[in-house]
Amino acid sequence: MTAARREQLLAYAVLGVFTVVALYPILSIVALAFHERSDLVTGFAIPDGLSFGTFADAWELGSFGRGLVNSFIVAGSVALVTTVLSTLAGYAFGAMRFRGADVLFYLLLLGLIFPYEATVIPLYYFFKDFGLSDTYWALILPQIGLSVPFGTFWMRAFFRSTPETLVQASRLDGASSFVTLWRVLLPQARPALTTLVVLVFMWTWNEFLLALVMIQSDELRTAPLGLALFAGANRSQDPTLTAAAAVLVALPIVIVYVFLQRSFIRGMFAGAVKE
Amino acid sequence: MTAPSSPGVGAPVPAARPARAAGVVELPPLRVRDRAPGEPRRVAYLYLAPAFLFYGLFAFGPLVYTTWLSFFDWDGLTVGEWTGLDNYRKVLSDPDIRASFVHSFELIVFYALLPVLIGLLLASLLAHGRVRGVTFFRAVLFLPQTVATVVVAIAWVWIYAPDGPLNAGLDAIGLGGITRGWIGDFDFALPALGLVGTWVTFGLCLVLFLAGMQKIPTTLYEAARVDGAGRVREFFAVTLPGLRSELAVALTLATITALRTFDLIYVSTAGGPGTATTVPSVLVYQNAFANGRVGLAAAVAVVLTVLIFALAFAITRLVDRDPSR
Amino acid sequence: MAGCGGTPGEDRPAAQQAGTPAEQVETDGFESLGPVTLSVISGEGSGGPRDALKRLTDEFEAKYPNVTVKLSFRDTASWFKQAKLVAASDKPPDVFAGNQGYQVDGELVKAGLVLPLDEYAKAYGWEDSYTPETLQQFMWSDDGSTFGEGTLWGVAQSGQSTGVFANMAKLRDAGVDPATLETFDDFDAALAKLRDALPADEPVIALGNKDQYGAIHLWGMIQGAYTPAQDMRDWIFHADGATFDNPGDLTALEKLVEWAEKGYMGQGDAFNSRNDAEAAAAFGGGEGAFMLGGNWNASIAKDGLGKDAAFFNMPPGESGKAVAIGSASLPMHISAKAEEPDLAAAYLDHITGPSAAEALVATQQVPAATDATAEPGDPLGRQVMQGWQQLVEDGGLTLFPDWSSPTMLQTMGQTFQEMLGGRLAPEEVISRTQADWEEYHAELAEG
Repeated sequence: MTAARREQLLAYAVLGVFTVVALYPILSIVALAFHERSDLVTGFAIPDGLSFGTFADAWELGSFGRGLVNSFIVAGSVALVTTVLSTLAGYAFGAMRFRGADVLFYLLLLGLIFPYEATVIPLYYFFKDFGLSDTYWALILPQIGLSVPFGTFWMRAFFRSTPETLVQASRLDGASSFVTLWRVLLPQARPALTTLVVLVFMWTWNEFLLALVMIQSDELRTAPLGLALFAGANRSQDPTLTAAAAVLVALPIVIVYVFLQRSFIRGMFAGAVKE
Repeated sequence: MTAPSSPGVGAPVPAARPARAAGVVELPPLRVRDRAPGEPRRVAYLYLAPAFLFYGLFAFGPLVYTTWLSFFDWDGLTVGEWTGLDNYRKVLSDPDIRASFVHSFELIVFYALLPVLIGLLLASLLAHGRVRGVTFFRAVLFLPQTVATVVVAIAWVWIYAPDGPLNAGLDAIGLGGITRGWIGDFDFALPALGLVGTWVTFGLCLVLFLAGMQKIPTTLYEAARVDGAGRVREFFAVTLPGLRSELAVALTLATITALRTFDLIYVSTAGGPGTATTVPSVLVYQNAFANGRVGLAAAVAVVLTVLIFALAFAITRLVDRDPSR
Repeated sequence: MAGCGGTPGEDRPAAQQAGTPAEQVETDGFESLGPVTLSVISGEGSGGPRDALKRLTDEFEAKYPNVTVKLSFRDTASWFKQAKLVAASDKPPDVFAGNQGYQVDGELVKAGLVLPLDEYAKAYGWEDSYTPETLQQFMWSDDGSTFGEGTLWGVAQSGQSTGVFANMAKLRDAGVDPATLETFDDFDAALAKLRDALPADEPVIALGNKDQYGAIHLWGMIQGAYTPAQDMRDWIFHADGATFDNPGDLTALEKLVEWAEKGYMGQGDAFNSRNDAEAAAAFGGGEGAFMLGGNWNASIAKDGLGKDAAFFNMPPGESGKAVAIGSASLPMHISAKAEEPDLAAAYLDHITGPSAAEALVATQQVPAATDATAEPGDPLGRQVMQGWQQLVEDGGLTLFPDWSSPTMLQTMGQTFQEMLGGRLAPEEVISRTQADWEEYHAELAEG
């Protein structure tokens, strides 16, 4: 065996180990979820058969249908609005000159790194005082505000990479800035836009702290929040049920990821995020 | 090929940026635009307004208000009382609060340092190891990033359970003596949760580094090879320096995640046993919403934010020094 | 928002003021309301209490077909943390559980989030159904500062005491006969005997302390052997001069540490990985010889061990009196924002009064209503009820120590966990607990 071949095998081995490590936790709750609710699960808990009953129970008992709809509404709105606003702002930063550009940009950059924890307290009282706590608005509006920094940064990177000549040509033709954006630049922006929508959607979907603080009623719970409360109440006596619920909540994003991972990751390549 | 391949932006990129825009005449190589074309446009402010409105109202504004709250003693229900810097004094002197920050730093090791090392290793293997199925590996290794943290917490609580797979595995290989309830153990709970963080983050580092490695010109490797460098030297002399900006990004993102981590801890241990896994974000939630000490929670949040800013700044400064600048 | 520079909370609108029910309260005739929904949150989401409440709710819906009850359950420990947030939200549930004491109920009353129930107590005759000691647990001055007197704000379903659950099969195998355990010292000796009899990796006492209160309840039974119940009650109600720093409490802590060191609760601190309900499930599944905990887990023990499940109070110390942690169960409150408070009160009466006794007794619980006539149908249920009655007779219910301040559950919970982990000395636990109490005592004195 040549050294090169040995190297290659070693590489496969290491990659293989990490692949197992990456997949195992996910597979373990899937395995749990396929048990009957009455099974005593210990150790590796490999189910004898594939029982879908537990999933059905979890769906009903945890009202996850509701939770998934709520998550979808919130994540979808946030993703769409953020993308629109970020495109506009990113266009300004990336394709125009104006006074204070640097200052404003750094101000926005701060939003990339500060923790949600620093904002939840005022947000909670703010929405409560306006009678809007426990509504979709309480989740959508703040998350737009919190996602716009990343979105702007992302779209700015895209706009900065478009050739100057395109913009100049359009300007010479007498087109307004908006027309330039709409007709000339956006058609090229599809991958960047798609990636942004997917990323913001995913991050908003998975958001927990905000939902925990803002949402008290059962109807408006997002899926992760519903799952956490469900798990708290059921984990001790019904581990398989809890596992099934967890799988249900994780599934939508994982499916989206599996289908879109190519463009997802390639999108991240293309706009390699950088301070 | 759709989007023009844009390099990392922000810092002045070395002048040798390939102006590879589809179908456009090659202009004389300018510095990448750090100035937009044309004269200053006031309409820019119009474009910025909506985004900044949301940002100001729902992100930055609240941050400022949190700082204001930190100077009060308030239970959230009745009227608050001005106490100046009292809450900050408590933050600095209370051993439990101090310990929570220490725990955060411990988590940085697991969330940032380990994944970076693993990411570097795996990226090297995928980029240079002549393995097939790079896309497959990349996709699978990134998967943990896409799973909701609540689900991650539930899955790992099961794995770490006294009768769960980890202990079963240890038993199976004869290490039954060290089995225990991992997340109920004073010494091991935090590292156990830290490893979960490693599991979640290494895929992100991998993807970032792979992207970065793609941009390192092969000529540099050839040159190194000619100089007689082996794999290891190659790595340190060519790969690592070339990954500077990606390293900075990875370390920054991961460090911030470590310091911000709330979901994982809340769902798995709620800060226990005792205060072994309590971190600042958990303290903020507990004090603001369960214990009625909103001012103190605000102070903790402010200190946490300042810490994050400082670290992000330091990391970027230290790691991302472009030698050509 | 309290202005961009104002003191937070100073412009709280009138929404925070407690609503007052009309002078004339309705106790029936709810059919005429038309379709109406009542939302209820219970803080006891497992075991007997859960089953009983479901059954009682179904009964109530059957009684008033136009009423739909949206019932949801939360796990106790996290509910204590969330109750105030939920109560203060814009659309709180009409009926929800609180917790006696300064952490939850005191805050709820202070913030005007719950309705006073005196009128309903008169209309439904609650004063006849409950002892003054029981009702006292739900009484507060209108500003939420004085506990134990004033207006009535809640009402509870059952009497919850802590005691010893035994797996009779294991006791028989080890040659231990509970009938011979007449004093606390006898019990202590039996533990040693069982430790030898059981395999090394099985605990003698099944404990789950992840939520940080299991160990406190266990300790309460040891405390009962060394300290009079009245001392504890005085401390909880903030009588001047009451203190946790006394020889009896210290001895009890040291005894608890001794038991942990002897491995009675299992090896290491695996008990920190599971909570109270999980430990009960494990005990029901056959782990351990004893479970020292609350009678709310009785149905779990019965479901698992069947005829082998037994319950008895911890044998007394020198005083000869049974003393243990116990009180009425979590009080149910009516939200200040409830749209149909009279209906909510009718629901409260249904789930707590004599009519609820059947459902409670069927799940091995003890009705708090003294005029309940239902008799437990199974041996375990009878033993649970006898345990409770003995404690009431001996005046031995110490109530729950965490009632004594908004942060006490956290303070005691954490220090106990650390003490059992060998990281904190019992003296430290005492001083930190008493310090918490003193701090709050001073706050209360300021008014």
